[in-house]
Amino acid sequence: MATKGFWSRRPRSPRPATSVGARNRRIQAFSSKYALFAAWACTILIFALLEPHTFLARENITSTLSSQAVLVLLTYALVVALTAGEYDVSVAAVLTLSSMIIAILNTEDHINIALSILAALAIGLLVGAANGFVIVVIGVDSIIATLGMGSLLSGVVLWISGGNTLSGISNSLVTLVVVPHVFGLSLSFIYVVAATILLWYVLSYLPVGRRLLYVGRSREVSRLTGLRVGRLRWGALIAASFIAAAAGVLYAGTTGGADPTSGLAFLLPAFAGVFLGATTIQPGRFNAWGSFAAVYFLVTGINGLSLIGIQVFVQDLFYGAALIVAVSASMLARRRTSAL
Amino acid sequence: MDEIVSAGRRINWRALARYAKNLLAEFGLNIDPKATVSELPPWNRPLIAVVRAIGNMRTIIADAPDQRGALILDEPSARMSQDMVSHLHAVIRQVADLGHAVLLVSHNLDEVLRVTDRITVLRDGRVAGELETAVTPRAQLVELIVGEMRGLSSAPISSTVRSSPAAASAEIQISGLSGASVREFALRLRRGEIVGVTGLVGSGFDDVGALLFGERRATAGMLHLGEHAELLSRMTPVKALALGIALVPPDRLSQGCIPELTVADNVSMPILKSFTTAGAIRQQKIHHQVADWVRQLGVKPADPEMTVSSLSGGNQQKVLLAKWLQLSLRLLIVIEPTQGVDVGARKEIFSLLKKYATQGSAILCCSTDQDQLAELCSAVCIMHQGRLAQTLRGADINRKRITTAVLGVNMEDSEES
Repeated sequence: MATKGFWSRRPRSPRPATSVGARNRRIQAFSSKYALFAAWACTILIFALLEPHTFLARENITSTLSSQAVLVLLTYALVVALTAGEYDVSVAAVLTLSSMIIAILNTEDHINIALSILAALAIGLLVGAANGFVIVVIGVDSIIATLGMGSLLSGVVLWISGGNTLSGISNSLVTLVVVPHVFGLSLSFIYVVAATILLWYVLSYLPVGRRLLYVGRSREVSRLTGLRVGRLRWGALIAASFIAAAAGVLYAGTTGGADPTSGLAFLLPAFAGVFLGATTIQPGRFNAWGSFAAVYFLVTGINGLSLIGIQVFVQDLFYGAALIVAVSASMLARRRTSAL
Repeated sequence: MDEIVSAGRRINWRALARYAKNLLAEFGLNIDPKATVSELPPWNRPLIAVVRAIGNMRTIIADAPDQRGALILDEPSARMSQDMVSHLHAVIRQVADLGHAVLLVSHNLDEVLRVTDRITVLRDGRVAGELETAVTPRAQLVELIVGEMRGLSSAPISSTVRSSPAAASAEIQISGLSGASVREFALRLRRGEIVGVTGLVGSGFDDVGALLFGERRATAGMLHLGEHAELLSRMTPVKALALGIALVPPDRLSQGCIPELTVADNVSMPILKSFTTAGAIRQQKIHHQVADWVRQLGVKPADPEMTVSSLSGGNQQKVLLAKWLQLSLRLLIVIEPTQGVDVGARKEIFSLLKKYATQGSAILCCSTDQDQLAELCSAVCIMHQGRLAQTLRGADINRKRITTAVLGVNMEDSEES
């Protein structure tokens, strides 16, 4: 019953919907929906012209698609958290911790690889539950809570690893992740496509996905419509950490080892991917296929730039700029969908 | 203003406080300038915004004394008590008498007729007419606002709504409800009955609804639904909905609907499960069913893929009602259901609520809108300082009786104290 509601409300007068206006809006909606794909096509065209032999080589394409599977999966952790309205900036630290736990348990303690993976995933669930407790029960803003958690976990990783890079993870995991399989694509890419289908299905077709969207858009409306808001937010945070831990498993399999810092660099690209993804397929909503396309669009750009011999710092420039552009664009898309 | 910001570009806090106090006092507001706005009673807050606007206008004009300003007010009296409203109107006249233009956007006809010189009526985004207030009878204004909707106006109240059969048992019984500003509230409702709860702002009339639904937690109270008894201190929205109780909150855009989602998303929200086959949502089913439903309720345009924010206030309110009227509830609680809604939509909402009640649900209408209560209710509870002061029934249900009861109780009390 806050008074502010009244002052922030501006009664709108209905606009007569002319057919021309409706058509223009539809064209506008269509073009904004697929703008990313146009940009992607342009990027491919440019690099194909600049570096026709290397950029379009089958090995380059398959290795690009496969090597970025970890990043795509990490992006999905953010899709889930952001759909429920929570920022989770601890996902990259969870990924790093997960890969480090597997490396330590498997190489130093000689624990069976399956058990090591289970332990890493369990730690993911635990971190998510802890995030949820601080955010939902105590009421700390999610970005602050997870910023703290991320730093804390990075500290744990340095502590348990002694700052060392470990290698020599059981070949069975490496085989399951990186061995080329279908059309030269590694299994990790297949896993990520499966994860995309699963996430898309959950968010678009299951009541729980729809409820996460409701909660993310308005906790108050959701509460007054009888949704268990706290449980849904907590669940989303647990799912996000779990997906991040799964991405850590893929990462450990991809590299065959673990190092205490490189995983942290995935955080910014993942945010760029999820926000850029929210401008396409279902503009204004964080969505699975949009994020999938966005990550590969970004990766295409980076891959092309590195092939024409531009230095490594370009990655940071590219991802940073992409994040800002993506958030601005998804803001505009959101404004447009609410104005339609 | 010069003395508030000193030569060194520093803010002179003392001068600022003095300025604020004088400005507030000028409009009869005895408010400590150091108090935070959230500490103030809610009905004072809009007045502060108005006074600030006037103050700003003045400082601008002070630089160019021969110029005149314009004050634009958008529904300024919406959450004010009667005496604050008359206060506001005095302030508005004062501003106008100083030679400034005042543009007042309001759906409150009495207010418009009382304070304005000229009225422009907008309907469906177009100017429907311009009137000189002094020579405009109320009926003419209403006609212009309602336009073609007139045929639908005030359907005769069906006898089943007004006089419920004596044989029907009191199905819903509330006793000893306390919490927020409410103390020891009790009420019986029958199926098909619409009961109003009203009072001055701050009397707790709206808290009754919020407490019953568990939107705010009650400290004590029992709810009997037929045989079933429930402690109101343990009520939550989840539990209330399981018992067949729903709440239509007063603020449709921050509490009722999610404005950036579509009508289909919003209307399907409480019954998502019913649209699933083997656990998966069928979007087509939602689309068709919601399209049918909002067409029945007269939402314009009846397009389930429109976002709620792109609809007019009246249609947004109908979407919010659509969300709940599709369920067969035992008790529907509505708080200010026609706030900020045009006259045409208001009449449609009245007939929707009446029709819904005849289908066997009880409705509790918490509102300060006396016309609305007189139109809808078979009984009206008058709240005063959190307590039930009086219940009006039958022939007493009219605008005049309700208004005097709301104010009359107030006078009695001031004699006591």
